[in-house]
Formats: sequence, C-alpha cells, structure tokens
Amino acid sequence: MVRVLVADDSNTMRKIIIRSLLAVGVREEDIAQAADGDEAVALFSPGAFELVLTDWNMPGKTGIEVITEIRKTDESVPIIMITTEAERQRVLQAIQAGVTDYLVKPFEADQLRAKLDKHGCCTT
Amino acid sequence: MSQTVSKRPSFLSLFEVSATETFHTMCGCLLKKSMASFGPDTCVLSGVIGLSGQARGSVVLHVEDKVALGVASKMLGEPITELGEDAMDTVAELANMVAGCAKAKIQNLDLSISLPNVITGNGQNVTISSRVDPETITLESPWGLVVIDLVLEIN
Repeated sequence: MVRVLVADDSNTMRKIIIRSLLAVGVREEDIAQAADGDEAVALFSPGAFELVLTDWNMPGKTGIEVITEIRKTDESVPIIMITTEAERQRVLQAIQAGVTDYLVKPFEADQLRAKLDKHGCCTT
Repeated sequence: MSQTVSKRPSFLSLFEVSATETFHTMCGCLLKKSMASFGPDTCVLSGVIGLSGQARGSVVLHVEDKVALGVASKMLGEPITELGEDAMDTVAELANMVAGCAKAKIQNLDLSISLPNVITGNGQNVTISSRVDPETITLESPWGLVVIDLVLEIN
C-alpha cells in the first residue's frame, strides 16, 4: 500500500497525476489531494504518506514552502516537485529545500511513471 | 526616407517554440503558423500570465473553444464537451506551461510567472496595458486556432 499526497492548484494537472498513480496500482482511497500549499501542509503528517508530489507555484504556500514545512517533521518521505520552473537556479533552490526528485512540465506520461517507479510507487 | 528600426529584442519565437513543445508533449499534436484570425462570434478562452523579473509584461494564450475542449479531452483522457471547469483549468495550465517553458529559455532575465487567470468571451480582444505594442503569432492546432500575445519589456 502506497499513500500519496498530490498538491497542485490545477485541477487538470491533479487529474493527470492521479490517472498515472491509478495506472501504476495506487488505490484511489490512498490518494489525498491539495489545491494549494496551505492545504498540502495541513494534510501532511509524518508517516501518513509514502510519497508527496507537489507543484511549485500555488496560492498560499509555494511548493518550496510546502517542502520546507514537511522537512521540519519528516526528513525521509520522497517529495517530487512537478513544475514549470526549469531553470538551474530553481532546481538548486528546490534541492536546498529538501526535494527528492524533479519533473518539469510539460511532461509525457512515461516520464511521470518512471519517477513513480523510481520512488516505489509502482505496485502493478 | 528614414526607417525606424526596433531595438527591442523579440522573445515571441521562444514562446512559439514553447507552445509547440507543450502541445506536442501534452497532446501529441503539432502546431503550424497560420494567417487566419478569430471570427467576431468565435468563443475564445484566454489564459493570462504576468511576467516579472529583469523584464516585465504579460503573455496571453488565446484558444478557440473547440481547442480548449479538444486539448482538455486529450490531457484528461476523457471527453470534455462543455466549457466548464475542466476546459477553463486546462487553458490556465496550458498558459502556465507555455510561459514556464519559455522563461526557462531566457534564464538571463530571471523571470517569475504569476498564477494564470482565464477570461472567456466572443472574438476575444484582451488588451494588454503597456508602453509597447504586443507581439502576436497565430498557430493552427488540429482543433482550431491558438494565438499568443506577448508584451515583454526589459527593465
């Protein structure tokens, strides 16, 4: 069982990500959705999720702030940033905040699946 | 006879390339340059993104309603037939990806992008308030027209 937190202000992007999660065998009831950074932080607690997927630019807390908040209580949960922020400086900023992996939008379904596989999400 | 030569650098081609990459990656389709324009009664959705940093401005991605529905259906993997939340949100995310992809190609300007807003209307005519005229390019997708308006002024 893999529990996943998906944080993105785009309903479309959350649906795309969730479709990929379901395709690799994650159960619908094990996926939590946050439409902004504040909601993501509120939903997170140590041990509640085996994977976090977060956007960068969101209303309320940014993805960087979400990562920083999560890392205060959980140093090990894998966090994948899925974002349009592709510049080297931005990637370094995310690494400094504690991100585990990084996927730049736009992306192909296979690229996301490879990330999910890499972080132990593929149960099929 | 004197001739005015613009010294303002043009970044429109980068946004064109970014739109082409975004549509190809997310929808598996190609965009081609077009000379066509929206009709006065065409329903258009416009995704608006603010740009700031060492340059400032806006990029607006206008798409026909049938483009919004086609792209949303492709990206979501289910038929989207109404101009509701899914279509609007898809246009917002498209604008976000096009702007994000383009700003990564001009890293020296250290641009930040705003959260997207979407405006709908007939024969959309979104006016960008700026000291400089917007640059415009029209592209043809399998579902209809995609128009990019860009204003980007170096500080």
